[in-house]
Amino acid sequence: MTTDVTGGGRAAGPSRPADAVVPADPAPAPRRRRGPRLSTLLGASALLLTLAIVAVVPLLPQYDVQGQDLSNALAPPFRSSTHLLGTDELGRDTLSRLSAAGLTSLRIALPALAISVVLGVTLGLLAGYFGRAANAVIMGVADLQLSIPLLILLIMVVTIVGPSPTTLTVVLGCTYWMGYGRVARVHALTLGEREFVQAARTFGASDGWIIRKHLLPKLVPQLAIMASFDLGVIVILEAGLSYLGLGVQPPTPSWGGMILTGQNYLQTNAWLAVFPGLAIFLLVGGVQVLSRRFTREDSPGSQVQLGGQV
Amino acid sequence: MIAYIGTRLARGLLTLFGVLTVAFLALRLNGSPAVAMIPQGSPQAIADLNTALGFDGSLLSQYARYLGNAAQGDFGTSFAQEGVPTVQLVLDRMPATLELAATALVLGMLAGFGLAFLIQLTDGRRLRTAMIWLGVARQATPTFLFGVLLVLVFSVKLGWLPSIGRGGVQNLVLPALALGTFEVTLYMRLLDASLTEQLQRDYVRTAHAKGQRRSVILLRHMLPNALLPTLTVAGLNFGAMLGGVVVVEAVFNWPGVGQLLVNSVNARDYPVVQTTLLVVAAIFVLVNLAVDLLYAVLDPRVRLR
Repeated sequence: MTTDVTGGGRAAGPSRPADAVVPADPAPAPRRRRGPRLSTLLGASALLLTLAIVAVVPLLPQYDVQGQDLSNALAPPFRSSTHLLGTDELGRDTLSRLSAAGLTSLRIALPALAISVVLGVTLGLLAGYFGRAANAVIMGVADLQLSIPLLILLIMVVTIVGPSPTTLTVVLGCTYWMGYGRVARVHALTLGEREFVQAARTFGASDGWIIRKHLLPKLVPQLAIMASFDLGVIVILEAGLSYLGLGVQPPTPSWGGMILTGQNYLQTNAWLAVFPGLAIFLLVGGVQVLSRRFTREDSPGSQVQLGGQV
Repeated sequence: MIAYIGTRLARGLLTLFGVLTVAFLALRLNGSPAVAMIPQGSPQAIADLNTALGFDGSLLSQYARYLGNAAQGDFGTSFAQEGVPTVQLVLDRMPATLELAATALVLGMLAGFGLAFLIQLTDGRRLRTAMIWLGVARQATPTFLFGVLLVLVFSVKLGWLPSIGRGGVQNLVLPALALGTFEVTLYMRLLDASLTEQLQRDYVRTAHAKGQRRSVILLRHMLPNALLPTLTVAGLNFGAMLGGVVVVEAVFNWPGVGQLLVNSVNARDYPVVQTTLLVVAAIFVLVNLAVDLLYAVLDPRVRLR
């Protein structure tokens, strides 16, 4: 944002006569860039690197997630080609586990994201489009969910249904819909009054038709931006639960679980905690930088961290 | 004003009632805890234990009993530590958690506000950009990971600060940093944006025209007006921080409410879990109420209803 009055140095007196002729503060012409921005490049390469670890490592000949080798436990990284990133306390290959944990994480986060988008958009459109009763019920539920910090809600639900990848997916999906619900509701409320929707209704269009053909298409770009950001948040939530021992259970590898065990070996082999941390950082940072690239910096959505701190 | 507070309090109580109900129902979906506690027990022993724990009778009668007791301030006793009221267990842990959360909040706000002032006074666009990138990096790092990294650097490698437990100030530094750094950039950006908005107002121009010092204009004239949006968001984000407290307490083995929650979950100590949830939700509701009231005090233009 450019500012007019920047301080003592600049004349800030009453309106100058020249104001009538020369615009007081000509907006600087937006700088056009040729190539992609540096941030986009960084974000994309971080994302590609983690995806490559998840996709390519299983193809390597030394890929072995569960194979133990106690004589070779806690091997440091970058010493041998069979264990490029070293081994953990049971002699299992860190690179293989890093890759498998990434797959676990994405297998939970992507379906969970899909559930929360579908649930949020459906409920939000219902609340915004179908008047007061639906609105009161749905927003009441959203308020209730928002009154408990998300991680604490997740801990409670996971305890009841038991931690497994499937329940984690469903639970994360069902506890993270409010952001999408809010956006879809506002969208339906504002667009529902616009002329083209009124016109469609006059021509006898059904509610389903209006929602599908007029409301949803305009909502999709914003949803895509939100969802790419939230993928990172859900990955972090899953990692946090696994770190607390309430998420993915060993021996299934997860980044959060790897950090939890790695914390016991900070003295001897800190890499055990650093590598999975780096993987989370690159994946989450990658998607969020790419997502921010398309978000207005001061958009209100970026102010409240719905996912909370984990 | 009184009507406004009343409405807000009523809404808060309604929310708490909802949390109470959800917690009650959710924790009874698993069936009776007695089977989990004495798997080899005879049916009679299990039934007796269920009666003792308040898990007998229909769901509705259990619920009525639970609500009745709650209205009298009795939230049940712990399963794990027999006879100890859950409220006492939660309240015992509360000072540790509040100490950590308050320190982190104050640290985060001070740093964020300080940076915003610095940017305003020096026109520090580069500083602003650098801080935004740092903030992006911090938010891409889960808090528990950031805590582990702090331990790695400041406890293991440098040996400056203790890595676990609660005690003196030196124990508080790392957990508070892990928790407080998350929102520094957020506060900085919010205050910076609303200060920049104030810059264009006539009263600021007048103050400049009369030759007032820039720092005085910033602190005395602009800050009170610019503080409001920041406060609202800070209140809303307090809930996010309560979630962070749980993981930070786990990283640093901090004896607070978060550790109590995780331990009670693992021990299937349902009454403690319920009470913890309720207390956390109550704090959250109260903080939001306090922010709303503060808003009204700071800005007389806010019309209370």
